[in-house]
Amino acid sequence: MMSSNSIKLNSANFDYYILRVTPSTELEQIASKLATLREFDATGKYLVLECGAKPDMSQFTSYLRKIDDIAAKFALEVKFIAANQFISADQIDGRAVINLPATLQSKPILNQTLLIEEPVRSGIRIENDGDIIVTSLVSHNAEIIASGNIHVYGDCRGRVLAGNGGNKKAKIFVARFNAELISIAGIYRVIEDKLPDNLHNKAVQIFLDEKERLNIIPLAV
Amino acid sequence: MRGEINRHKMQFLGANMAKAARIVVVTSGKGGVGKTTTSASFATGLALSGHKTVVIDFDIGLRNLDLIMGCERRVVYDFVNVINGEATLHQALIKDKNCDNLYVLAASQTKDKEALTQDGVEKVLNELRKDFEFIVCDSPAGIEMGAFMALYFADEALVVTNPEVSSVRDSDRILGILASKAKRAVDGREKVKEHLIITRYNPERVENGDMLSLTDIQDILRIPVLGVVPESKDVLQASNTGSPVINLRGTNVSEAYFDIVARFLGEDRPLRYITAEKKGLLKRIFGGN
Ligand SMILES: Nc1ncnc2c1ncn2[C@@H]1O[C@H](COP(=O)(O)OP(=O)(O)O)[C@@H](O)[C@H]1O
Ligand SMILES: [Mg+2]
Repeated sequence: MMSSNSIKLNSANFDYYILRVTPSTELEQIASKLATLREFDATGKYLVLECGAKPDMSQFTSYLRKIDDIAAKFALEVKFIAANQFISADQIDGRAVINLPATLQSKPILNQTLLIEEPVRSGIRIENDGDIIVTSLVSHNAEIIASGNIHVYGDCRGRVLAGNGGNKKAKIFVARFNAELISIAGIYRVIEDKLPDNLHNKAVQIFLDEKERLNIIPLAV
Repeated sequence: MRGEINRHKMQFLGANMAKAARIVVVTSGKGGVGKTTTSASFATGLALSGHKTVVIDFDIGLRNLDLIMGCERRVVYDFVNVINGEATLHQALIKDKNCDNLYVLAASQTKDKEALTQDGVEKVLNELRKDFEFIVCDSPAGIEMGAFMALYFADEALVVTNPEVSSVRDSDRILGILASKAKRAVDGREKVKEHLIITRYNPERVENGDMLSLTDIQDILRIPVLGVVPESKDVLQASNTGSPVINLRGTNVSEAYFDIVARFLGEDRPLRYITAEKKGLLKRIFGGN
């Protein structure tokens, strides 16, 4: 699960370093990155936190405080949060949300696949900047949101949103299709009625065609 | 950004935990499905099998485990008193009238739900761990504080469901919470062991299509079934006499709970009471099964 590019420090020319985190960033990874940083540069004092995916706001402050504790060990302070498509507040936990100069903004990290090997239960939302693979069940009312492709190898009864953030080439692959909602690049369809027999509970793939219509077709094997 | 998404990463770290008391939460999401009935009979069954067991009511404000256990008159101090340091655990534990290995820790009727603090609950559970083999936590309904506290420290969970869609959906939510918010998940230890108990099962109504079948429920939840408890008037009768229904020996419900306890302790027993009785000529000639 440890992915080398799930954390990234952009050393700016100023007093600030940009710390990019994604849902799979481990706190220990942050500590080791900061340690490495300090080995070659001891001048900066501040961190700008950049989120590579939409954070769970109810837990964000506590997450931030944990980063604070780590940063403090390296004489750093998380002073700002970078504004981007995932962060729109004016301030978070007393820290201003700032626009980074274009040259300093990170490119979205794609193809960082998140593998989920347990059932995704009702009420749970899983998001990833990259692909998501679910090896078992996605329950009614569960939500899978990926900026890339989504693969579900069990029953899929919840909501699956691929290409989140605008990737129209993203696809959804499902082994047993019975989803409540599907979406690619924001183009969505709510599935209220039972689908035809060749699709209902069958293996399907879902994609956008040239006219940006959602297509659900049997997965030829 | 961490939390539920990352929980599956470090699951195997806890493998070498000392084998100690097991905390079992009886939970469901929905109210009125049979959690308290199950907690009382399950705890009694464990105790009858020779395991020192305590059953705790987490339903602050709506206590009724003590009623079902038939010890309501003997509640002097409760769980909240112990948490607040107003009584010792020793003072608050009520010994069951029939069974030596069984103790009850009642809920408070007066205090509000906020009285259950995480630290307080942990302290009490840690103290109980020293003396008991099983700690059964009867969860209140919902997914708020009381229910959260009841499941937070659990090692295993009995998820109680009725054969109807809303109850099964709520159980699915509770399974999600167990897998993401329970202490084991937060600490990245091996996940809470899940068991499904289907109560108030009525095979006739299932066969008529009025209720979800065992297979329907298994298909939605995909966790191992520990037992199926039939719908029966005996449950009401037991609660009127102030004794857990498992003590109504010979009844289907009592048998079903004995099966559940045996399977929980590792015994392999086939499921019973899952098909409608045939009320035909043969039955009249040969008697019941
Ligand atoms: N197997 C059963 N058959 C018939 N009634 C039952 C059964 N199990 C529980 N009940 C009844 O359902 C109601 C709710 O049970 P209870 O155990 O208090 O549920 P909970 O604790 O989940 O709210 C009670 O009136 C109880 O007598
Ligand atoms: Mg109850």
